[in-house]
Amino acid sequence: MVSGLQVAILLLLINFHRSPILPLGLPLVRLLGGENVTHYPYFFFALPVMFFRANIVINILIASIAGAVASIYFAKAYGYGDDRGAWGRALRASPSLIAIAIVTVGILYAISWLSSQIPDTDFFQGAVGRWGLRLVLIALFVIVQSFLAYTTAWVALIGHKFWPAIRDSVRITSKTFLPTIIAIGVPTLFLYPLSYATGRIDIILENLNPEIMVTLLVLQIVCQILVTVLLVGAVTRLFLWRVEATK
Amino acid sequence: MKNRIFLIGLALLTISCSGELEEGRRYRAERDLSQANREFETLRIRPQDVAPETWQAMADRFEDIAERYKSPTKETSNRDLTNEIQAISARASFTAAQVYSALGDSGRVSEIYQQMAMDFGHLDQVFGEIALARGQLAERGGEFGKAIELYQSIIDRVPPEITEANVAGIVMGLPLRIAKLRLKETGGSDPKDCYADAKAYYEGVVRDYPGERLQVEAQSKLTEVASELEDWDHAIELLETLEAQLLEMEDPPRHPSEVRFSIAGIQTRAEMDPALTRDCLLSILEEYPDCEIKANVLSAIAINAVKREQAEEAIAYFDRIIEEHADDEDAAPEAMLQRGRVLGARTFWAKDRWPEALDQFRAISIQYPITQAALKAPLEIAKHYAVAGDSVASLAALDKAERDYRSFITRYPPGPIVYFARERLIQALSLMRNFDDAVSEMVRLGDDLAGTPRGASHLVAAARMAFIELEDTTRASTILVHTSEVYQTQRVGQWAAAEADRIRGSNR
Repeated sequence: MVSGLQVAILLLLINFHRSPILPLGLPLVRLLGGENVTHYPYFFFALPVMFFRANIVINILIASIAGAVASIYFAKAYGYGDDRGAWGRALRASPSLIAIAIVTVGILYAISWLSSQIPDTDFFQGAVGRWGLRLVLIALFVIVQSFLAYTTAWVALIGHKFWPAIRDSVRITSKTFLPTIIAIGVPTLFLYPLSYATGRIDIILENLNPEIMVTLLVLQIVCQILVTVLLVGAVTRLFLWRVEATK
Repeated sequence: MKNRIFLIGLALLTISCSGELEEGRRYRAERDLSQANREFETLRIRPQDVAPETWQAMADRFEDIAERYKSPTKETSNRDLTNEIQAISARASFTAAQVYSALGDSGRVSEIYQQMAMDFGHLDQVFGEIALARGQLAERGGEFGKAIELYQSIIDRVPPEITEANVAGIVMGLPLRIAKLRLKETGGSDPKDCYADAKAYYEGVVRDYPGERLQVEAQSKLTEVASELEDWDHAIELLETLEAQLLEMEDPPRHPSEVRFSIAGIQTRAEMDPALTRDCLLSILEEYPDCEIKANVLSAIAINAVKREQAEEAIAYFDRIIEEHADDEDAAPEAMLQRGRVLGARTFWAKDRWPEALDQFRAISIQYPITQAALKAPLEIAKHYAVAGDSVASLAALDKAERDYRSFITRYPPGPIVYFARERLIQALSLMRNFDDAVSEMVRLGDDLAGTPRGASHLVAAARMAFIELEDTTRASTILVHTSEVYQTQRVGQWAAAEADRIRGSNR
């Protein structure tokens, strides 16, 4: 569902100039990218950022709830609980799920912002400095997401509210640190080449057709489907294992 | 619910059918032109491998884009957006004209420009670009009056700017260009009169744009006007004012040292006392020790020393360039060449320093093989022996030079340095009195540079050599006919046709 929505948004963005779509597409493009991106090929220069911004909204409002539904289905598959009324349960828990998603996105955004404040010294312009900073950022992203990884399961499967879910997620991660880091880190590293490629639009625009950006983003969506399934499955399994162990 | 969705869909369809929104149209125009340009650039990497049909298809594609976006949609009310789209359409037309020009179809180029003048005459920038292109065509065809008229129309309509992005950036150069064309048209009878309008225009810009880059540019142009009129004192006065202005600017468009260097240039052109020029050049080194033109200044001082017959001083400055600017692929080899010339000039030295000069010439092609200086050096050696009266050594040097040039030409891909080498080869062949090969090489080079003034001058020179040195009127007239075909819309082409007729007539 989330991927379908992502594809729909991407299709809407890249076809914004077509007459039937223009009344909806143009305001959306302007909202996500500003006035200048309605020019070719600058549109493709801004496409990853626009898609990223649209994704933030999808992640907060839709993916948070869909993630809860997926956790319920996986839990049932692992022999825990019932998956009847999964959507209804997830929707009822949506205030907490959305609040958690906002906090997660907020922290990740704050880390990105802080990294952009690092002075552009010769060291950070060099390959060692640049890649070192990227590695530190990835590590921070993985750690933050790891500590918040079990919040959805706590809300969807146990019925926790916002704060208890965060508190207990941090507690589980502390006890299951290595498996959680691996469960979160491996998919992140797997997706990194694609997100790096979409971030280097300057090279793509210089050497290849700008339209290749659409292919990269579609590839990113497809990979995200696979990664998300594995991630939610692994996190739910770890969660159930840890919860059952403490019983 | 279903009814609501249907109504929303209907509303969207109505909006879309009521007329294309111009933003979407502009995006599509930019995309179509950009994609066509990308393909065009790819073809231009190796134009010799591209079939004429492919170029024709490319021209058709640009014309199709121009046609598709040239007219505004009926429903539009946004004038700016419509103008933007029409400017994109005009760019496509320009590129189509460029392709036709490369195909040698000057008739179609003229047609496109005329059509563009009708379609886009209301857009100042596009109007300027069309007038400029048509003016250049007229100038090449020897229609100076028409060119002047077109250039003047740009000046009257497009305000000058300091930019390279559009036609406004070349407006500043046009009054001077018009003046030079007027001088050509009148045969140089009254230069002051020809330059009067240009002078007035630049004085106006100096007055109207105080403290701006345009003022600096206009001041430079006024200097050029004064130089063309050989009013040297005034030119120097203007440059001194300009240097003072630049020194006061926070971010000057030119370094003041360049202006001081121009003063030295004017002094040289005016044949003023070389000692005065030397002092001027030395003052640059003193006042602007880290300026970017330091190598040029050192070279000018060395050449000035040669003029004053101070060979040791000249050698010392050339040594300084070779040592301090070894990484400069232009300055260092040129200094080595000049150094060799000074060492080889017998009048300067009590004892013969030719062996040192010979070593110097040979060292250039070892240290800087792919430079003009390295290509000039073999001819310098041959010239020295010829002046010394040693015809055997001179011929041997020329023979070696020919082999070196041929090897150089086959080793590197076609480009400016290879064309330069081919010109030196022609020179070597001519000096060996091998006129037959020299003519053939000149024709080949002329064809490779077809469409350029340099190409035309090679073809004309080949015809002249065939006529005078080989006394082969048939070959000379064939080359001239060929020149007239390649440059049929240009003055040189018309001249070549007439000259071919004259030669054939005199031969009958």
